Amino acid sequence: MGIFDIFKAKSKKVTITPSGVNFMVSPGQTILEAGLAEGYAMPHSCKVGTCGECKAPMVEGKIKELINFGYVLEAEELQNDYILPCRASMKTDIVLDIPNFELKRLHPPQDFMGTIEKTIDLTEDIKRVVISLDKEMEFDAGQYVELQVESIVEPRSYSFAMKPVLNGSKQIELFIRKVPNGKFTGLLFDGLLENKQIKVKGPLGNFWLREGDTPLICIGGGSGLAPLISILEDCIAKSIKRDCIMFFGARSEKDLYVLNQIKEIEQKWQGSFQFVPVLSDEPEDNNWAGERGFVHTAIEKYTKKYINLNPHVYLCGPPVMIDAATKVGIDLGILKENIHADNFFDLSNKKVKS
Amino acid sequence: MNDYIKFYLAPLVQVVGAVGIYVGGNYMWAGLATLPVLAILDTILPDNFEKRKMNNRLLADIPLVISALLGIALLFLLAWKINVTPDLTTLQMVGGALSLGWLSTVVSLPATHELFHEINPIRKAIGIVGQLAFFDVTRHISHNNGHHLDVASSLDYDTAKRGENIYKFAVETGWQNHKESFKLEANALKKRGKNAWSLSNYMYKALLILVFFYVGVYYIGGETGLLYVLLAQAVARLWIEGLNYFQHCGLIRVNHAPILHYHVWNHLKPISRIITFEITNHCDHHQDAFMPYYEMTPDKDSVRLPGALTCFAIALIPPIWFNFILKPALKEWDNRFANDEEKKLARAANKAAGWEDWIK
Repeated sequence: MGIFDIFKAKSKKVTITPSGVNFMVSPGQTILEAGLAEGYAMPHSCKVGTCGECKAPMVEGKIKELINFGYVLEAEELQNDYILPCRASMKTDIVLDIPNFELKRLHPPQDFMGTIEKTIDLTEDIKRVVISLDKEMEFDAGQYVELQVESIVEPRSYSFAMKPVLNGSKQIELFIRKVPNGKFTGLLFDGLLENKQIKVKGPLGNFWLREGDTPLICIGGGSGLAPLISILEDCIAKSIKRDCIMFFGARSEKDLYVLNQIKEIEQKWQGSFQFVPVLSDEPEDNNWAGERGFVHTAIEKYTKKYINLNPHVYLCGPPVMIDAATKVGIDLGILKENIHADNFFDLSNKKVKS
Repeated sequence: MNDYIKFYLAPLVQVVGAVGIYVGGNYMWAGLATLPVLAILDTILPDNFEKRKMNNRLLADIPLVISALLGIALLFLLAWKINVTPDLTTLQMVGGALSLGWLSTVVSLPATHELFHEINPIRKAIGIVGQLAFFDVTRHISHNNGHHLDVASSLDYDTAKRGENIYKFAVETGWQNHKESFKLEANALKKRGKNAWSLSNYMYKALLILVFFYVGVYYIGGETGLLYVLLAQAVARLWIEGLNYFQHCGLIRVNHAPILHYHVWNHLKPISRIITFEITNHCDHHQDAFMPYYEMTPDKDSVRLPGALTCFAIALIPPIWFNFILKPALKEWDNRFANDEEKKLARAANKAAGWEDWIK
């Protein structure tokens, strides 16, 4: 040890129990920053100690509060040594107890330059959009990217509508729905973004297939089919064998899309696969023989056989659909931690998915 | 010009004020004289949408630290000058106080705000203590744990209601912010099983900071020096609430709904952006308070108000401010950006303010 080494701040170790995951935190770095940099899906939102999303109980070690945790945490949490990893300076190595800590390490998001290569109409207001990137992007099925054009500062978030490939993809596919008066989708649907350079940031999001062998209940609404297609095609590629029932909520028959792709998934699926389209606004006099109503109203009828098998639910669509479907799932006895949602209105990172 | 260098305009303007006070006489007004000069420049120059080409936080923080410390040093300088120059006229001393009031508003507030958001304990402490320049060493508490959660909603003290003029807002929001900080601190202690008046209360530290500061000012400047330092701080404080006013006034957000880029007013004139360390371009800051000032991207698509320095002048005459600046901006904002829920609230707010219903 050199004579000046005693003045050098040293990295300290964070261990997460019961998973045993650990990572080092450099001087000047927050625990949250270090965990995110390692690719762990650390729960968080504001990153500055105001929202409390990242809170976790510390079972060993000492930290210094960089803000008064009492402003944010409740009395009981303070008594149980909860800390805010986004605003704690480590005095020693520490151990945090996070029972449901996601072990999966995600690919850290990066900035890319992209070009919109082509757009293909899927319905009146949904397009398949193909974007080529300046380098390969690695992602997990179910995640999303942010797109940003120079004239609009707020980035738009869209999920991958394709399965990931080994070593990443230089071309990505998304489903994009036209938002009434939407600035970004207005430009896109008017053809003004074709062959234009856009900024792409990703991969982002915590919507991906959790491990298990229990049945899958997938529920998508509108352009929310994209991450489900991504996950299901990835399951086929990885030879995952789980029973699956897939609901697709749309307004009318003309709003159903990628039916051939779903048919292909059904044919290649290892296990039982059932596809249930549910239409909310199909005219009564039409000869639609399938389910009618909002998609959540059909869940109970089709999933009874799976309820006692501890199914995992994956939801993607508008907030009202997510809320209604989540409530139905919980009422049916599905465990809350097994319900995973990719909300268009994503409160966790305060971005609106269109 | 190199972006790192541009931000030295802020401490440079403070140095103009310092030289003016040091020289004395009518030069005591020099700091305030920078206001019309900068405001005219800001008005003439077009909006600036450039993103800063900076990435070294340590280098970028140097002008912030200088400005935060200079803000306090200038008050001591004023006290000293008044004490050693008995022949200064009242008008000249008022000029000194107004000069420092202005410099604290336009430079000290943005610099200290940026610093108290940091995690580095030394820079954070400089940011907190630097708020002395405008008589407020508790603002960071209500700002972080109130304004950042509630911006543009009815719960936010820092968002003026439609029809509320700058004078009413400046007086009320200052008081409300102090109250909120006291409340947050007391609740935090109660949660730890301590009495709100226990010695762990940060407010004692705040009080000690103030006592040390005023003892120092009195020692250097005597009674008269202390009086004019208090005047400079009071002017700064009222003016700062004015800056606060221009950032969000009249905007609407449903309580607890996600914060989006349009919940902030933008003033993207080049001088406004530089001298306030990008606080007039802070829509990114409300989405990610962890983001340093030089990483914020100007929102080209936003409804923009005139430069912040011009707004300072116009808002002093509320009828002109409302009819020629704020109402047209809000009309565009309501119809271009507000969602359906926000439109409902905006319509009610217009009605309550006695304004016409312009929502389509």
